[in-house]
Amino acid sequence: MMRILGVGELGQYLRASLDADPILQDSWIAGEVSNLGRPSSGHVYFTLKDSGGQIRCALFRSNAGRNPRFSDGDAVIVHGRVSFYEASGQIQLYVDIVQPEGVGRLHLEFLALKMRLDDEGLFEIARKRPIPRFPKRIAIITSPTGAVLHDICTVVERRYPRVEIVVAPTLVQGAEAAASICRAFAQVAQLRPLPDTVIVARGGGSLEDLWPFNEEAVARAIFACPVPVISGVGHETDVTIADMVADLRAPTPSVAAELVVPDRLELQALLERTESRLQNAVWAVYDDQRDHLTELIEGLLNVGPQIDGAAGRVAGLSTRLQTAVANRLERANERYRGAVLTLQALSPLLTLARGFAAITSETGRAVTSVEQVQPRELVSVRLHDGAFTSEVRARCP
Amino acid sequence: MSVGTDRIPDYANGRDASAPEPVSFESAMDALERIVADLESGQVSLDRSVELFEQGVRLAKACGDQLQDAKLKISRLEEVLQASDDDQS
Repeated sequence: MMRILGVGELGQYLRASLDADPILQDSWIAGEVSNLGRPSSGHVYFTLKDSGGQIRCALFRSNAGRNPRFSDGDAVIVHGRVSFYEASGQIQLYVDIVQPEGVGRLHLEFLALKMRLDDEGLFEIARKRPIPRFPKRIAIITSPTGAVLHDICTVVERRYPRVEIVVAPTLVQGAEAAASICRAFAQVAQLRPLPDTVIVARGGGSLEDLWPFNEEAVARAIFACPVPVISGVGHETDVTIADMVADLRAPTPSVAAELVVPDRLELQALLERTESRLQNAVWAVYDDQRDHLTELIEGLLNVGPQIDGAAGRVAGLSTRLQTAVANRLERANERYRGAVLTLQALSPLLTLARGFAAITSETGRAVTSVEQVQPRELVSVRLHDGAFTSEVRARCP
Repeated sequence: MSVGTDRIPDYANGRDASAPEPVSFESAMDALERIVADLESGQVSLDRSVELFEQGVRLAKACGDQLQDAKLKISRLEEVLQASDDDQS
């Protein structure tokens, strides 16, 4: 019995069919770019065509950033998935990689894997572990023959002789190399004790020669390694996926040897510098305290002059006291002398000296009036320089 | 770091304690600092000045001794360091 579908339902069915097709979900297409549009949204829309047909393409902003720019008329190879966009009724190719035509297949594969692993987070910088500074044991995954192993060992032994080196030999090119490298990593993970750091290395070569280090299995083996991995693959300009996953990339195997261990002589110099700093620091503290104490002792000794100052005050006051007392005494003396003079002036002796006499009766009574005496009475007459007796003869009145 | 259990009055707390309490170098220095400041202020009675001076001298002596000890220890340790450096080269 036939079924009548709605347009929307047809669209859904079409989309589901396309989405289920493995080839359509992961295609590489070659063609020429036309009708290129770059709206402000950042997404890129274009048509890919050749003599046999055309297809509408969409490159979203998130992917556009990590692809090279291209223009109308360019011959390109794109990678993407085909789907049906119901709203517009269009089959579209959702593109994630664009490369100019002529780029080798190997490179395209590299780009696709790189993008996939990046999206998974294998290259995440935050997960990269720091390389141990003073390893006791390191493992080297590399070819047992050839100059690379020899170079690395020479450099490591010169810089830091006390480290133990374990070699996990492996093939480094050819079809079996990827599996061999993965086995080597597995062996290293079984070591007891575990090494502190692993170096995976191989010398320079072509893209094909280096290819094992771009394989997904090797990338995952590095990512899963329980200890930090330094990669030293090829020449400085060769960047493999192994380099991107590793905790640290060395541009060459020899540099890897320099990164995995410190240099003994540099350490010696550092130790000496640090010893100097240590000594200087402790003496600085001592000197500070010494100077401080000296200051305080000086301050303490300055109390002498303070006490002298007080003594000075005492001496000064004492002098003033003496002066004041002396002045007081002097004033008293003056008053006394003045009184004496006045007294003398009033003295009866002075009167007597002027010729007056003091007369007393026989009974010793002072005679101050003529009525106090009778004739023939004896009286004593006192002058200033002596006395005589006198008989009263006559009175008048 | 202790200046020992000499009978330094704990001036820092205002007590004239005769209890032998170990005083740290830093608090002995602080106490000495305060004594000098008080004496310099000139506002202290004569009797008290003499008292403070006595305390100050004791503190200064204790601190000086402690610094001397430190200097000795540091110098000895430097010799140890020197000896180990010589061993390595």
